[in-house]
Amino acid sequence: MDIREIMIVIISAVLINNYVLQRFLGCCPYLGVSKQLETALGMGMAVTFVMAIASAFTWIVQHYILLPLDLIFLQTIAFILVIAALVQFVELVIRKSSPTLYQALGIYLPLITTNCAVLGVAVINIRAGYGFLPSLVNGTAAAIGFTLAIILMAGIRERIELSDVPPALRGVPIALITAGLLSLAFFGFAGMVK
Amino acid sequence: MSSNIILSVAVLAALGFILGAGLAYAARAFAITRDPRIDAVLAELPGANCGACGYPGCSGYAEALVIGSALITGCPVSRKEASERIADIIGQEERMNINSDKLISVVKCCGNNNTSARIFNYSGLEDCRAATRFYDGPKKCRHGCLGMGTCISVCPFNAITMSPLKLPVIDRDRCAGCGLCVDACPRQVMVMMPERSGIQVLCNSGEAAKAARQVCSKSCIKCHKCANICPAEAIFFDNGPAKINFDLCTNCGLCVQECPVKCIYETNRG
Repeated sequence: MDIREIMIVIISAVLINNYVLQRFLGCCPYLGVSKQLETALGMGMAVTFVMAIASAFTWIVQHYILLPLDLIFLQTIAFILVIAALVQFVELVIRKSSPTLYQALGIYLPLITTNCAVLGVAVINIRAGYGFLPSLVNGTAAAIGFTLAIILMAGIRERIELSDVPPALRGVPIALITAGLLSLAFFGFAGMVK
Repeated sequence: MSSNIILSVAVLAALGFILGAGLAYAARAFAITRDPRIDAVLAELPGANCGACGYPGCSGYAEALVIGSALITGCPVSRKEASERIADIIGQEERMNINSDKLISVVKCCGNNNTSARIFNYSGLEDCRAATRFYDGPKKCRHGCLGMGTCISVCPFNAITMSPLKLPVIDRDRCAGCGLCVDACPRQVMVMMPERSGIQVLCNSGEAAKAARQVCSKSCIKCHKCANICPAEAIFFDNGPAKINFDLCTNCGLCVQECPVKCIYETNRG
């Protein structure tokens, strides 16, 4: 796989097919944890971490267990099992080896265990027929796209906090409108790569 | 077909077992040893999580105590014996600092609905802080208790009740001395006093005699009769109502008899 192909995968996952804004996966943390820039960054880091590892491991499970045994229909449940155990394992290791990182990721790491974006990346990797390396790249890029989206959202929401929103739209309604507008803006990237 | 079912069950079971075993191993291999003293200290703390120490709950304070970043006197609720046991656990040489006087809060106002005049009828939110913002509250006296129970709502120990005449009554046995009510009261009418002492001037008004009497019949008029009769010279005046020095007060009760407006009370006798 050459550099050009990797770049296309990255641009596609981060901007054109942004997992939150175009595929609408992972909307729960996107709306739930985007009230402050700092927590949004923590969430983004945790997602990046989990998505990269999950794409690698689910690829292995798919190609070395499910495909040879002809058990593709077990994909969803097997992936959830692997991802959940993986996140638990990573949490244990981080807590022991790097308390600082553990503090930074904090509650977000277990929260995204069975996030639909994480499972979505794993399944989409398989559907697109990516090899091991492109899967890893796609997973990382998708997570970077998620981080980009949630940080943009948090920045906007911090400003909305200070502005004069009509009473009926305060809180979640204005957040959903903002998310919609942001999503529309990202449609501008469609067709960027020919 | 049946082989397919058996195979899928077997694969999932094997996968689950391997992952579970891996996690079990990881949990042991990467186990974190938590300082056992933290739990020991936590067991001695009151466990009310009132936050008066400034830490998020008793567990946060216990951790800070063990690390050494907090002082053993930080918890105002702990009894002396508990503080000494904690000192034994963490080996902090602070025993002399342990305050033997337990403090409790007291409402320095005895102007109830019958004795204290009102300017207007307040029908807003039943909260002293809200009432204070509305023309400084309905009570004519600018210093007295508003009687809407903000102290009751913040007390984590349910030690405060409201009397029928709208003055908070503090249950001396339940009050743990955390001081949250003192901070919450918008009129600064609540103060802390040593539990062993009972005599307290229940008036917060620093107004001169005439102005004070006009708004409340129980207001301290600064006549100095209590200070003159006190054999221990424990009562003094400094730009306000009579004050009692609890280090000198012997709880003799002479001032209670002498006070012409009856605003000195033996709070430990009901």
